[in-house]
Amino acid sequence: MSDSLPFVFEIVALNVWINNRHILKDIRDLRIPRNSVFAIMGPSGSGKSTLLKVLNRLLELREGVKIEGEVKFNGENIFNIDPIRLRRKVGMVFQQPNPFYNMSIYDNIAYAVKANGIAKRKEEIDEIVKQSLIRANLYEEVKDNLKRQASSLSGGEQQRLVIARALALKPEVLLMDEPTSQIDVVGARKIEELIIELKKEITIILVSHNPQQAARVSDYVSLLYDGKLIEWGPSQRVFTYPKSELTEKYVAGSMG
Amino acid sequence: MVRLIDLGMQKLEVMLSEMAKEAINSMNMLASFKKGETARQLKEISRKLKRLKEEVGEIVLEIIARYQPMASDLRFVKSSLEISYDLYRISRYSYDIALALDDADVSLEECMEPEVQKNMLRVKEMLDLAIKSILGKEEGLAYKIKQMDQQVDKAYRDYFNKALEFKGGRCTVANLLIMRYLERLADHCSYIADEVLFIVKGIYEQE
Amino acid sequence: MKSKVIFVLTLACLLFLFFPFSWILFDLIVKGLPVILSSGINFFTGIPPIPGDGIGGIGTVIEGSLFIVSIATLISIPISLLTSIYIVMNEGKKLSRISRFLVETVLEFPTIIVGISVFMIFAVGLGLGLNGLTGAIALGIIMIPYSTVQTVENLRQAKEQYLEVGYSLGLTDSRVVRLLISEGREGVTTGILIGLAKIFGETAPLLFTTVTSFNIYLRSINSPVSGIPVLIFNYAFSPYDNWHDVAWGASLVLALIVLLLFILTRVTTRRR
Repeated sequence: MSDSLPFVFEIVALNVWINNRHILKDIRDLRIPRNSVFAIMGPSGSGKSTLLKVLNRLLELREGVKIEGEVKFNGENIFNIDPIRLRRKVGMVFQQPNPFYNMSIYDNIAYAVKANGIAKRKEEIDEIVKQSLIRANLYEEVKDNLKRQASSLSGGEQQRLVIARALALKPEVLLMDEPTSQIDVVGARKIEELIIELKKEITIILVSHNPQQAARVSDYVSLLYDGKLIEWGPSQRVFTYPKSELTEKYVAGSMG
Repeated sequence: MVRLIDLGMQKLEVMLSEMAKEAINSMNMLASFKKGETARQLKEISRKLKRLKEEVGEIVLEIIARYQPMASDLRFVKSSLEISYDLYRISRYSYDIALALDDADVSLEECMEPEVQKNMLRVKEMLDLAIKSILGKEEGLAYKIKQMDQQVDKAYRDYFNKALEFKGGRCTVANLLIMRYLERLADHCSYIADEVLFIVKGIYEQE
Repeated sequence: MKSKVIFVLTLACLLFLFFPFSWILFDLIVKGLPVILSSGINFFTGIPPIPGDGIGGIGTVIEGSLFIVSIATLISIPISLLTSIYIVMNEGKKLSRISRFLVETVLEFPTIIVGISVFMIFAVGLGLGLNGLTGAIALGIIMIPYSTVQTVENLRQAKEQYLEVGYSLGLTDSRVVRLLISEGREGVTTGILIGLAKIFGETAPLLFTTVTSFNIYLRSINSPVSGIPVLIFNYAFSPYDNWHDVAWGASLVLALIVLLLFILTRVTTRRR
């Protein structure tokens, strides 16, 4: 597995059916450049979350899912990789902040670290927890008491805790499914700033229902409409001069 | 469908139309030149266009802050800043031409040489086309304007060389100044054409 | 005007509901409390009196009930938990749906039939006899669906919240299950408490699976001990006045225990 390839993910061709409905229709030649923020935007129901969940093979856990095609992670076909191994390198953050409410802040992050056998000694785990919280820009706000219940944090803080939890496994890629749509404005801004910082070390694939957010935060952007890939490219180009009329309509707000 | 941003965009288009009308007006006034009076009127017009240009700037800021324009909206917004400046300059040059005639104390009928007359008509046509191309976002017209600009430039250089040899006097001075201002006026029409091409094609073309 | 009528009607229904409950409680206290007080601590530690004379205590059946219920719980928890995990983790499969249906059916089973069946199969068939253990088996069977249904609901909720999260962190199947149980543990506990409250007061199954003598304390796992409801049943129908009094005292004790269990249930669910 080569991680010096310029593209961390490459969707050569992809079709997905859920309960016999064709959800993703012939997605081709979509390449995610390493260490970038890659946004997937589009109206609701266009298949964005589905596409994201193919990448960490989470989609296969659902009933009635049929996936056909070739998707490469660092040059390897993801369907030939052990899904558990893949998911340790490709983390995910969901729309609704979902830290483990019954656990403390510390335990939230330590849980998967211990369960995956990444570290066993307390000092090691302590360090990983601390580093993850720092990377997620949450350390300063919680360092006085890591034993606090996760449920005592605000929405934005909970989401950053979730990010820290995912980062603790040191993934190469972070998949984010509308991470700020359930957060207040200030919290959302902090998460957007965090995303820009994180991309120096990892690659972020972000689904956004808001083209303005995609414009602010992404280096590359793609438009999914009705399960089809309409276009993708550098954000600077797509937002000022899109190739497709659909993209033009979507970003200028004259769709729907 | 009417979007929120359309309210702002409409304001912008209305402003540009008004500025365009006044710019054309300013060139027309030169055709019916009256000593002293024309210059006064053109001064008013160019002052007005300066204010309108500033208003356009404010509308553009408002649109950007409030509506986050994208794609073709964004390009139009940016270009309208440039175009408003070009239209102001055009009216300003018309005023300069009138001033030159006043200062030289000559009238058009007395002095204007045929090639200067021809050039003035050419530039007026360029301005007409420029306005049309803004409103219709027409590529073809933009290219035509750029062509004509080259002709205007050539006519100016030719006259300049001729005037160097000529021991003319007032008329020559007046004509030379007019040709110079016409050349600059034509340049601004050409810049407008560049903006129209940017709106339509998304890039500024290199020569 | 209409809302006033509705208000009055609602209030009336509330009182109508409250009334018999209060009456029963009132009756229990009036008739049971003096009995307990007259015996004092001995009511909870002593053995029942001879017919016709004295109050004594119900210590044997308190211990018996606790024993039977504990064994029943020990039997039912693993079965309930494993069944719940299977049902929730395999939701699309036919077997999961069938299991769910079976559990819900057994829930509705008349407990007396469970008692008779356990008697036939375990007491007679397997030769276990009539004792606390057999009683516990019967109550355990009755408890399973109660705990399971509650646990399934809770695991389901935990699953909705945390299934994808768990897998996205690269956890294996077994780890994900452990995570769901850990996060849903309040609900699992509630399930157990609900089951407990149910079986504590069950009489019919015990009538068929255990004895109706209440004089001995526990000596071994198949000691012939019995439960509080059986004592109440027996003594209430007896012709002896003092045994009637003991039955009232025992009823009050039983009511209080069950009430306590329900309060515990509310307390644990409120903590979230």
